[in-house]
Amino acid sequence: MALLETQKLTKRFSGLKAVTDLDLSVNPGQLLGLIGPNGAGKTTTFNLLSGVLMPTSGRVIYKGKDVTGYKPHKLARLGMVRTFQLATVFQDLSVLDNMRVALHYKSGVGFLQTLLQTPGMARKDDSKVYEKAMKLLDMAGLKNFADQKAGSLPGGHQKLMSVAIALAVEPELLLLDEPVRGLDAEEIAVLLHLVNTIRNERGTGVIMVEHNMKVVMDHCDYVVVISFGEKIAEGTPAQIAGDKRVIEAYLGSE
Amino acid sequence: MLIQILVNAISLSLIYVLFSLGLTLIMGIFDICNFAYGEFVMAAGFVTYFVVGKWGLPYIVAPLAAMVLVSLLGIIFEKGIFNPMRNRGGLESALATFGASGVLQTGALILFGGMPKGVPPLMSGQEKIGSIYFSLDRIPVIVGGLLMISLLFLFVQRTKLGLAIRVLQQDQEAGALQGMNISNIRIVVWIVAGCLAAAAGVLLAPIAYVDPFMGSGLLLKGFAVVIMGGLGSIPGALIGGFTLGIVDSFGMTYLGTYSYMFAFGFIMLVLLIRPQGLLGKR
Amino acid sequence: MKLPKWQWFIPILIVIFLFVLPLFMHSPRYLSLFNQLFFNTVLALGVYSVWTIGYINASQPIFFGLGAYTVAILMTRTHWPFWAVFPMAGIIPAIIAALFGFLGLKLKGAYFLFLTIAFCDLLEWMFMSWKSLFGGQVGIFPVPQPKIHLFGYFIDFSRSLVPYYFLALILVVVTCLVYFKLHGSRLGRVWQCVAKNEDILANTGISVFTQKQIVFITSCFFAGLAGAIYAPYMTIVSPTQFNLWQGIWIVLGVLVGGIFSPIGAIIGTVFMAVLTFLLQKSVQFQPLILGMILILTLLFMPTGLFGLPGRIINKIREVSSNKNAKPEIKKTI
Repeated sequence: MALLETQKLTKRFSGLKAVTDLDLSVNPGQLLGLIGPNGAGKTTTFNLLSGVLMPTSGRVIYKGKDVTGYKPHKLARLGMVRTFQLATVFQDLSVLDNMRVALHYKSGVGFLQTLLQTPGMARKDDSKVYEKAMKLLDMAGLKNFADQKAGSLPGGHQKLMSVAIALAVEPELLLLDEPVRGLDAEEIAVLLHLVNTIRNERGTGVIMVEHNMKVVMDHCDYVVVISFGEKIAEGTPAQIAGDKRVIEAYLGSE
Repeated sequence: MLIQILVNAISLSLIYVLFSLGLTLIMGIFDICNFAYGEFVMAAGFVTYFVVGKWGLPYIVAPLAAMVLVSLLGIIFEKGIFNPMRNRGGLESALATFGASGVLQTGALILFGGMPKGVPPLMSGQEKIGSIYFSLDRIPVIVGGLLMISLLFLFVQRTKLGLAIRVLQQDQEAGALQGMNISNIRIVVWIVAGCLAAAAGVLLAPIAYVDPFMGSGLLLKGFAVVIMGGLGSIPGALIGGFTLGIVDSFGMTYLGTYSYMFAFGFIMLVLLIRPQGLLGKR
Repeated sequence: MKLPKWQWFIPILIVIFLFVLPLFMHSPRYLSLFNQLFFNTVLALGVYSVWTIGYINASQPIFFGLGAYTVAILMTRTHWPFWAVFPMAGIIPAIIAALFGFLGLKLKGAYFLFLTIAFCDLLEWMFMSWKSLFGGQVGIFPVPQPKIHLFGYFIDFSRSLVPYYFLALILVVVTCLVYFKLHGSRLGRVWQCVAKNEDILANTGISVFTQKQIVFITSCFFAGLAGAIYAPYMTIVSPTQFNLWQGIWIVLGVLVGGIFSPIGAIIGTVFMAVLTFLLQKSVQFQPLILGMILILTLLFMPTGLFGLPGRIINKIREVSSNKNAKPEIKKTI
């Protein structure tokens, strides 16, 4: 069963067709690349998938369940998490606190517990969260930055952090919005290693919107190309590379 | 009698429309709340009082002087409040404008006293058409209001600056990418909004009393109109302003003390049905 | 804001001092001053709490008033004892806050502020006009005094202000403990993110709207409880006691004290109490002065009084590191 499936997903903005009849699907452990020229509707698609926008028509099916129109936090609780292009981390908090906040929901400690817990209970909860936080930071290679203010980190590190934050909720499907934009070669390697690790170890599916063709071609299992809101091609990277329509779409936009 | 009420309703509506147009521009383009916008109108009202009432200068001086003064006020707000706080989210600058409104109101109170002041209208007396009497004092309001609105339309539709403003209404980032000087355009918008408020104040002065608090009631109504019509929507401000003006004129006699409840309930209702532009965070 | 262990001495000393104060200070004038301070502190803590999630509530005194009216109405019309009515005085404002927040918290902060201002006007009008329930302009008088038995002793609330002093003090201490605990915890950090990074937070599974509701309702709950003590304390509850103006004072207090910590709210409330005293004679100038303080604080002292020492230290560090750099620059030129 596909992890995520969209059926004729469509979004219209008062007459303007942003996304039309989009069908795509992702399997567990699969890395799906979503590419297309600027303005093709990739970000809109992402916003539709992640609950930021309500589709005009069509459905989003996650693990067999119709989740069309579900709000982002509900989707996150079901296991579908996204990252953002800009404003990726909690700027004013330390790196460690970023992770603590990200792990808060999973920690199961709500308002009443926080209010009524004894110092002993609080310490136990804190150390559990601390351990998990450091583990995630370690995976992202950010362990040494734990006490630094997140906003002071270079852009590439912040992107890595945003993936770490997304991982805190133990997602089964990860939606990455231009994850390697602005990263240097070393950071890209770290990020891709991270992504591949969770794919292999946890069977997490990943949908990635990207402009970096090398990354897409080298690492994606499957690629979907959209232009002007419509899917114009799909297949393995090899199949896509030679597809005339794809080349046309990209050349046409330049 | 009915004609008179209608004339009054139209003139009140025009004032509401002018005020709402300015407010919707500020709120739509800048995405900020200006709690002191009513005081812009009040300032114009006092200018009119002094120019026409105390110094006896020709009427035309009032709108010119008021527009200059209020535009300056708007620029002071931009440079003093909104620009320094642009990175801190709209809430703190909105709070600052709330403080500014108190400063302006109390300042006017101290300088000019709280006694409501009358301003002689441009045209007075009564005319008779057929068998119907109506007073002339609203004619300048209607003419002036329509003139102002037409000027605004010409500016927004025909001039380069107007085009720039319309682009900014849609997307501020796109505007910056196209190389527009955002800070200059912001000043222009404040001047436009200032002139609109000034016009509203000059037109309002002769038909109501001028006092330091004349602007605060207007603010609530302006917010209601802008919320109803949509932030940044010029047609919305037009339609909403007219509607509210007519409703207010006819309802004033019957509703009176319930007006709070209606304004508040109305806003809540709109939020339930059509909350565009106010929702979410940015 | 977690205080290092040894700094807990200061608040504990202050609390002990406050508890012991009535032993050697009986003057009703000073006792009532402290009472007012305690009430305002509870309100200010609520305003601070809501400010952390990005909203400013100028209508705290209205919820305070709702609590007061609840007690007044219930105790004059039923025979319920004070301890039964007291929680109601927190719950009813909390319910109203839930209704108001359900719509209001969907808005951006500035529009929520505007809505609370309109809400103030609306409820003031309602207190005045709904005569059958609220008693109109005259209000509700007299409010029956609580009859509380403690360890076999009957506490007489009608003879002196001291029992009210202790009630209010206990409420303030409890409110402080609650807020320090909440805002110093991980949940408090989450709330900080509600204001600035809602989207990222939602993606970690947290329902941001629910959190906003929780914070807002809690703040109004405590405001109502404070009102419950206020009602029998004043023996009269009337519409003029709760208005927007007070709400602005409290907001200003929180801002001036420092919006990033509950301690700031407390400092700010004390500051505003002093300011009230200083400005007694010039009531008509108050909006002008307050407006100026508001604007100047926002522009030049955004971290408030509590944040001032930190800023000064940072400035000194900056200046001294610049001083070291300067000679080198001169050489190259």
